[in-house]
Amino acid sequence: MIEVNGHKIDPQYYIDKWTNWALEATPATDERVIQNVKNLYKKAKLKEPEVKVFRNYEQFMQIDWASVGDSVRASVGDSVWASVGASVRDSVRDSVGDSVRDSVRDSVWASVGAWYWAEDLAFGDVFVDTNVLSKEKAQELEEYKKLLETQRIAIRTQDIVYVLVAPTIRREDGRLHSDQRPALEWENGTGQYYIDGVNLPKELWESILSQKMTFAEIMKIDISDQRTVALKYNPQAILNEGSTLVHKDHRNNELYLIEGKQINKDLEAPKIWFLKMLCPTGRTFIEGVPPDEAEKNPNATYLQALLCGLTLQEYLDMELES
Amino acid sequence: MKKHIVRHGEVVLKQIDSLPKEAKLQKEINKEIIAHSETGHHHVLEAIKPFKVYSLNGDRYLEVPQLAKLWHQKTGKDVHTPHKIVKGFYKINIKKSYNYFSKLLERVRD
Repeated sequence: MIEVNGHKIDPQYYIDKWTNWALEATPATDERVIQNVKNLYKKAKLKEPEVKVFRNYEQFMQIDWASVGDSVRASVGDSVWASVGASVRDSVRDSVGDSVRDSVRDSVWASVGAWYWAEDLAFGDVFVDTNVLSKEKAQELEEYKKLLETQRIAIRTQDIVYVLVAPTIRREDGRLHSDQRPALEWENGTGQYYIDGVNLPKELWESILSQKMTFAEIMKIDISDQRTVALKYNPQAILNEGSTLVHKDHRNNELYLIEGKQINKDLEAPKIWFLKMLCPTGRTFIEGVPPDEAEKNPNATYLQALLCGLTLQEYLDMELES
Repeated sequence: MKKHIVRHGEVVLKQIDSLPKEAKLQKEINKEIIAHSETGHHHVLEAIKPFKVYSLNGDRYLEVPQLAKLWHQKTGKDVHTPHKIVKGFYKINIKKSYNYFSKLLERVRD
């Protein structure tokens, strides 16, 4: 929670609200999108820009951005800031900027890799809810929002506005997820693939959903979030390798050993040791353990401490684990 | 006095008595990504009063002059809860995992 103008607000509420807003534009024709952008600039008393509309990400990214020049923070952001009193601005700008505006930007960027308007509106929304903006200015912000309904992702330059019409979004339990199509799909059918909110290359997405991945294939995945999803959807992988549970502790750490199997020959490792850990976030992680250390002390707690760069006592003393 | 040790996903902040003498000051800031995530879900340390980041032989250290917050830049489910980081010196450990393909102990990547 952060305090703005005497009101306590939860930054996460605004981050979720405006990230979702940015990725779920109202369907519109190119003409409607262009008209809305022009109206927006007119309202902000800016020179009418040229508007270029894109409906898939690849096409959008083919623009020679180096020749476009610096993007400008025009219209909504400036208008909102002009409405906020200087004394309030200094005290809340940093906290709201860091916790809401920057997070919305990062969140949308992580999904579609493009600039957008949602950060400005998220910023403004906080100031409406905390009575920093007058009723008139709050109404003005509502009008801006209506003009932004059809083109929520855009790169703004001095003379040209490059609009990327938002893709179709598929979610499950609030997370980007689809086992049928890209969870984030542009009009030409291309897009980005997600399982349980984890972004995956298409080939890996297909492999995971085939439910035929081997333990070796899963362990070869570099990114731990992706490895975790692969393990979740291929639980047979561990069992198929004939792993043995060697030790289980009270902190949800389990030590497994695989020996005498084909994978041992493939990896030229007579013994393969790994830790399975249930993270407090609910996810299950698997991590390889150095064989010489596991041989010396086949204890799940000791080995988890070792991977964390802690002594056993430090690990046991650690109270905050999340 | 018992040392403050916090685990936040693959990040472990371990309180130490003092900084290593050879540690070099890298920056003094209010917000720093402690562990960068490929998927944008960074682990971020943030404070009102600037804290110092040092490095030595590839390891990173912190000097936190006032209460700070370690939080996970992620929305929705699977988010690590934020933790308060009390004033003090810290060593930043990033969890490791043994890679049976490369035969190396490698930093966990999120």
